[in-house]
Amino acid sequence: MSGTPTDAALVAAARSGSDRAFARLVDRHQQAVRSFLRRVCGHEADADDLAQETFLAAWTSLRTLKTAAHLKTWLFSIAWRKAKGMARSASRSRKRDTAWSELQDNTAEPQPEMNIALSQAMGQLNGDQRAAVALCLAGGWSHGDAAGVLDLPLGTVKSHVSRGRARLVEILGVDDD
Amino acid sequence: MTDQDPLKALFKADEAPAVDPSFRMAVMNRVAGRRLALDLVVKGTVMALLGTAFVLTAPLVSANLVGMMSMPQNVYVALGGVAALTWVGRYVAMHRIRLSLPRLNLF
Repeated sequence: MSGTPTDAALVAAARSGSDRAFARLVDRHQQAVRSFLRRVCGHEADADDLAQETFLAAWTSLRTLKTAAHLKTWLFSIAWRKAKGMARSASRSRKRDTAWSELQDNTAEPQPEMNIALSQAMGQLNGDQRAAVALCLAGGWSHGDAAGVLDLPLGTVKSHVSRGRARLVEILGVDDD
Repeated sequence: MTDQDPLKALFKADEAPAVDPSFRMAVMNRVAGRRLALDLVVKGTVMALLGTAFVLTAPLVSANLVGMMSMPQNVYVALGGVAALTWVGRYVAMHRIRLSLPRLNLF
């Protein structure tokens, strides 16, 4: 067989014990999951920790995934549940990661000004709004798929996206054509 | 939202890296740790059950062996039993035991 294996093929291989297949799934979806969590959490270290927990939870319960073709939606659902859980214990986690990051070399590239502004603007939206905006505006998800991930009614997601976008445009002062 | 949308451009600039081997390694390390923990639980349980079964059945078996067979024979049978248990224990220790658990949606 040539070409790139599908998610379904990799899930089947991972279910039968292949770590390589699971590692490829991680490679394939890490960017989307991490970006989503960074936008939702607003804290990079927390978000990456949650992303690791998301993939670990996915590995543990891979057998419960009914349709392998829906892997991405399933991963995002896990990530969203983890993010909501973390929001409850955010301060404790932040203290730990701050302590950890103080021990690291400060080699990370400084964030451009607009990225900081975007992160701060996202922080002014409420949790559900932030997640809806992160999925639909940043991730390019359809409102229907986002509703499935966030476990919210379709109308609520549409409203969150529309209001969240308006708020971001207002805070960032970008042209809204 | 169009491709020229300024918000989209901002979000694009804020993406996580497309390729990140260190993230993959961190995830796979956690997977290995979880697998080790699960393995220890399963193997520990199997070993405990085997040990309990041996302790419970040993007096009964030895009493029957003494009654049924002469001295050298029952020693051979006892040694054979110990060897069989050792082999089972070694197999459990060396192989991954895969349990078919019911589907639990834990996460």
